[in-house]
Amino acid sequence: MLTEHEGCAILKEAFLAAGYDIADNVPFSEGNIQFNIDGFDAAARVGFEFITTEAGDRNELTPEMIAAVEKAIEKGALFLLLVDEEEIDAEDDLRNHARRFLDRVAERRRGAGVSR
Amino acid sequence: MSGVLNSGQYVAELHKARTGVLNAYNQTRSQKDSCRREVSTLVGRSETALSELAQAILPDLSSAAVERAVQMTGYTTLAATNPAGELELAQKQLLESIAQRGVDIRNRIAVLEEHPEFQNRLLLRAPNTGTLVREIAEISYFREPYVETLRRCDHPRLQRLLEVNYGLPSYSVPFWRLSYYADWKAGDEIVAKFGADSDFAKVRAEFLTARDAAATYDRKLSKLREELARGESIEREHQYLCDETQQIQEGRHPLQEQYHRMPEQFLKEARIRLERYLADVDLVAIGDRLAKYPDVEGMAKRYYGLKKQAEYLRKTSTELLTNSESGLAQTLSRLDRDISKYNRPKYQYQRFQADDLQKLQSREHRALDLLNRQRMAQAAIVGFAAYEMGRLDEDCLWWDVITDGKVKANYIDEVAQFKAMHPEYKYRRMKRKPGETEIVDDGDLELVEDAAYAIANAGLDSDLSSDIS
Repeated sequence: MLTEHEGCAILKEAFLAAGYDIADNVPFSEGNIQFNIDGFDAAARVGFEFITTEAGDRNELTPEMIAAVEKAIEKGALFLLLVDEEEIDAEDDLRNHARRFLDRVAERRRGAGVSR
Repeated sequence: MSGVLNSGQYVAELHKARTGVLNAYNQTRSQKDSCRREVSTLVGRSETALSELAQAILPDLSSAAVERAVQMTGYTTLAATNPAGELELAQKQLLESIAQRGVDIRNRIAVLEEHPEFQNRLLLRAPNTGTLVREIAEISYFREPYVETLRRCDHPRLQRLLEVNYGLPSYSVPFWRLSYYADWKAGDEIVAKFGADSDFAKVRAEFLTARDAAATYDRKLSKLREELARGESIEREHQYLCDETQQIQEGRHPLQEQYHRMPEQFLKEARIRLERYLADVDLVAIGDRLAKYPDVEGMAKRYYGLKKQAEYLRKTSTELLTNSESGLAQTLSRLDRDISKYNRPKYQYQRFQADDLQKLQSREHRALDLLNRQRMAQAAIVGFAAYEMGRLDEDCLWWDVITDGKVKANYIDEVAQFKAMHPEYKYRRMKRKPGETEIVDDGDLELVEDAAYAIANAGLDSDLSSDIS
């Protein structure tokens, strides 16, 4: 299992490589969604959240909060890759999954007429 | 030693006395162990002698032999139980069982041979050509491609992919969840085994078809294999029964072997009963009977003598060593206490009478004396082997026979009672020529009441109050 630090480092590298200007621990507050996002490009509204017990994410990201985040993503208002530490063991897998997520995001954003 | 001693001198004398008493104590314990080993050897030899005696008294189970054994021993129960009759009856019953077993086997073989699965055994189960064998081979052959498909689909995440409808339009895991990508990866890995032009929807359909087909074939195979196993079991039972019949015909059947062993077993059991009787009865009581059969009487004397040797030796240990050992242990304990006590400064000016130490010396000497008496008795008892010199009658004191009348032992109840009932008794040593005896004069032997001596020695500290002084 990857640690919070290891997981966030891999994801940040992948998102930066895709051209996003990722900042660490960005406070996010919109409607019912209020939490610090592990990595987030506020202008592009693209980022990632690596959910670990170590960082106390499970207290902050309640099922209701995650449902609200997912609803926002579904509307195209936000693109966050939600990674639970329990679901990933290998660094390479995380890297590949992030790349595929970013491809999906790019498709969506192109479909919505947004460059990059 | 006489006069008065200061505390230093007194403690030094106590140390000296302790060394002597400890030596006597250790020797006594060691002698007890030696005695125990000798008793054990004698008991073993007496058991062997008893077994040999029973064999001589009852050489076989014929009526004449049983009658003779009863006359020799007075063991009338032996005749009453009629071992020869019991043997005859048991053998008859066993012969009937063997005959019945033969009938049962024939009947069962007839039933098995009527069974279609037995009658068609070659048709059904001949290797390579039997219909069941061929059918199993064919179905296994048809099943194999499906099993191969299942093997190719084998993946830890396959079951989940099937459950979430991965590859189908109804797959609904959203792209922002990591499981979406884990599904994607697993799906790719499975599809890769099926070639570049495949996709997971096709693989899924192929897998489900293969799974259903393999299950159908497995059910058929299972049924055929059960049928095959049932037939094989009938054949095995048939073969086993034929082998058993052959054994009976050739006289090798286990029941027949048991039949042939029966006389030996019954004789052995009868001898064991006789041994128990002989062990319980006082052989002196049947001495007159045994005297009519000199060869057997000799063996009876040997058994009786060995039994007496073990009994007497055990007594010498109890009366002469055990009591002495506990007395010496008490003395050692008190000596240790006094040595510790009089080493203290508060007693440095105390004076002691040297005569007090005399008691300790005499205790050690008495213990060693008892030890020597036991050793002499043990040597005489263990060395004895002239069983023919004893007699199985009430006027014979086996203690004297065993020790050749040279060791006194009034501490043994049997010896004391014998002497009390025969006040004029003098031990007569039998000469090797029949009927001749020689009176052994023990007038020059020291007559010591060993029992009283031992008891006095055991309580050698009883006259002491708080300490030796």
